[in-house]
Amino acid sequence: MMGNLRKSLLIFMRALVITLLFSGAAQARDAQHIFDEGNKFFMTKRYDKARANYEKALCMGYKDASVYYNLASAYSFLGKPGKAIANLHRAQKLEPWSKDIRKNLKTLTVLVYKDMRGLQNIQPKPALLKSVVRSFNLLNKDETAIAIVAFYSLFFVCLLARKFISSRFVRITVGVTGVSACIVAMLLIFIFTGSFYFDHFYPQAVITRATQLRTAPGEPQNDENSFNLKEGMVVEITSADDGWRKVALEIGDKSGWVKADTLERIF
Amino acid sequence: MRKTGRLLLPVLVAFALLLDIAPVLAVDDIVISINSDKKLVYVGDEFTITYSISVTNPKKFSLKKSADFNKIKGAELISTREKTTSYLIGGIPYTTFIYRYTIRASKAGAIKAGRSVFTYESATYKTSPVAVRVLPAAVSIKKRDKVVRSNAKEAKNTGKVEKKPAEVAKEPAKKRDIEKNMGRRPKKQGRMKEIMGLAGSFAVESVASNPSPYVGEGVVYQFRFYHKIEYVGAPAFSPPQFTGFYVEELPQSRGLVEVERFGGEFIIEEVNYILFPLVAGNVTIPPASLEVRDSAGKMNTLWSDPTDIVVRKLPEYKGNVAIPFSGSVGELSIALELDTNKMIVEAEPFQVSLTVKGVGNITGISEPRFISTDDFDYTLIEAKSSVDKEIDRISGEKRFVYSVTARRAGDIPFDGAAYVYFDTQKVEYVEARTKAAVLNVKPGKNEAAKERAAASAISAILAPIRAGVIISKRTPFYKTHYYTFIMLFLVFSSLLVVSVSLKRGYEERNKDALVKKRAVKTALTGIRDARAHLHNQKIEDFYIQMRYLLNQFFKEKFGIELIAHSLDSLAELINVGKKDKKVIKELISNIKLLNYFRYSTVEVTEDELKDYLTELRRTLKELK
Repeated sequence: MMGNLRKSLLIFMRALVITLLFSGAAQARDAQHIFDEGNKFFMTKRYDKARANYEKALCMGYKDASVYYNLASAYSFLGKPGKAIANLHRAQKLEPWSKDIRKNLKTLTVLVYKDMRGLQNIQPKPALLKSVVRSFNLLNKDETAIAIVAFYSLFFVCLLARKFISSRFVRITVGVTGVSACIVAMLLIFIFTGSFYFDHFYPQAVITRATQLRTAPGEPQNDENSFNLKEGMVVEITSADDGWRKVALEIGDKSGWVKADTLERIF
Repeated sequence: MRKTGRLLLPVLVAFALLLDIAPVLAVDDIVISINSDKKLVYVGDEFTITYSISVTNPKKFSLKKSADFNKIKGAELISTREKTTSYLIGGIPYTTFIYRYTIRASKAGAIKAGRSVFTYESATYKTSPVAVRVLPAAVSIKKRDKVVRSNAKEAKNTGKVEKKPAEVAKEPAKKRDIEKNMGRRPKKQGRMKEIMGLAGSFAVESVASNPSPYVGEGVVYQFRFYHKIEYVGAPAFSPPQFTGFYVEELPQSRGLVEVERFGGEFIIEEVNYILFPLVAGNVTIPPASLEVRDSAGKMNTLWSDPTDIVVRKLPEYKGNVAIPFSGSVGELSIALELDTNKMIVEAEPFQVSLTVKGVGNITGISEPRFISTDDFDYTLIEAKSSVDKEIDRISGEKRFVYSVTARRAGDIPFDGAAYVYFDTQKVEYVEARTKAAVLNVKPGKNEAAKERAAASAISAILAPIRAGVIISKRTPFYKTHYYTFIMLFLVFSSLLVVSVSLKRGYEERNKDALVKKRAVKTALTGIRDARAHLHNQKIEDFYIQMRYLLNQFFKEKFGIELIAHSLDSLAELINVGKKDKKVIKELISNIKLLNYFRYSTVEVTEDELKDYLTELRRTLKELK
């Protein structure tokens, strides 16, 4: 009796595991297929269909740098630099070391900021911490987390090793290594936490539709003194008010209100 | 190492705090919205409260407690629906959980739905309560000139639903009288017969305004409720499933003009929907039901007949290939708005508005096509619908605002836009066009023209797309429990090691002070206990405590057991024992402090004590 029950349970468990494995694999195959289809559309210059496919893959939860990167390319060919830049930023967060992403981002950004004479005379904001955290593009968040674990483990091992080492020279060496590892881990934790902090409290967005900076929400457009925001400019959202967002330019100290539907949050 | 450890301790604590903050910040976005489709309802009206929760990580979302609509006073829960959808907002995939509660107001006053509680990423979210105002059922008399077609069932006040086609057929004359009285024009005579001559108190019917519409053509679906007598409470209407249609709810008409039907006067109340068929073919709309309580307090359930609709396929479009069929069906027109007073400059955007208006599925109107595409670039900025719902149709307009840029300077013909729709009255495709104009485009700045050229060329210099890569779906490591566990383990283990090192270091450095501290602490505790015994007149316990205290003190301080202590043994200790200046000093002070001789069983006189102290001082001097 018990033997039968155990046998049935085993069969059930195996069936469950196989079902789960295959269902996940099937979804992965679907997403890969959709992505590949998108690439085919892109190659045949059907950029809108390619875009739809990439977005579908993202909807399925495949938040991969390649998908964001190709989606950005599709948007740039569709003449939407704003959305292209936003997606390139997303791709860069996942693959900060990628030369292609950096190149495309630079190319599109140069185009956006070209002829922005108004901005040339404005001094950049002295936001050192933010700049340090945001300019760290060696590792993505995942890799930073792994590096933190690695350095912290090294520090812990050194700390323990010192307890058992009698040689003075070796103790000093181990101590220096441990302290260095601790400092590196501290810096990485600072960057890791800082990036969350700034993404959360100072979210960046990309202008997806040319608009004007207004002095207050609901102010009429076509004010001659107001500042024009070009599509693709990166701004920082500082506050929100019912369909309106207060933004500050990433370079320069201009700030003002824009409609929420004229921008797209990067993260 | 000690100094380093001392420095590291606060740093490690800060680490631990940072690691506490990080997962909180790593919480994905959650957007919660609650809305009621009506803020003001009448008794008997149904309304829907929808909870919509959008999250980026659906696995970590759960509904902990839903607002208990069954317990709300003056409201009755009709149905509950749950739905999950996924879509992209700003490039980020969101999953939306929709909880839809259909509620019927049964009592005038205010209905207040309680809070729902959701958990997401271990955080708990509470929704704010939703309030809906309920007014008493008002009877607004409104005479309408409407076509009555039948598809009826009748329920007698016994609650039984019966169909009597034979009886219906007997009274055609009476029917004509009624129609005359009502000022209505019968269209479907056969169906009308079914309800004629019935003598029930309640009856329902469902009617489709057009039984053979084209795909996309609006059909008004009416559910009519006839009642001869006043019902009690509010009737509960359950609409059918409109599969194969895009559905919009139209205004309800209630307490309509009294009509003489089925041999008596009835009041009609109507629930109206407009249906836009999505595919061609035969479609049957299932029966709708209505629950109504009669004056005897009995609940009657009335069912309408199924409604058959034959959706016709649109004829093949053989018009202009450049302007394809928009998919709209109805009666539409298009208008263009252009601010001609404003100077148009090459490569500088100006705004053009296109408005498509008329009767039909207004929200479903697609973008019109611009005819001049060689000399202008068009970017859609805004598309806004303005819908006017009447009892039997939807009309309104959809406005498209474009940012248009001229590619060259000069007098350029601007042909405007066109829109092809299927006109159901003419039964043909109609191409609606805006007026053409010639625009005087001033030469733009060279830099702007260059920029535009650069923009068109920019795509060519972009790095190629990634082909053949394996895209992956995985939870980021830093968001997993493994990472949190490893980090917490490392941080707390490091804290432990550093703390132990610091403690040991401290103990080594302050060994003497610690011993003294411990001895004094023990002594003070012992004295306190001894005094307590003395206070309670427990003399024996007091002496035992004092002896124990003394023994402990000497054992810890000098490593000597003084079970049977005496003056001799003390003298021996002072003279022979550790003649250390510090120790003797401490001994003197402690003897003074404890004043132990006073409580000791050893009989010591004051003189002896003085001698003893003198001896100690002498020894001290010798040492100096």
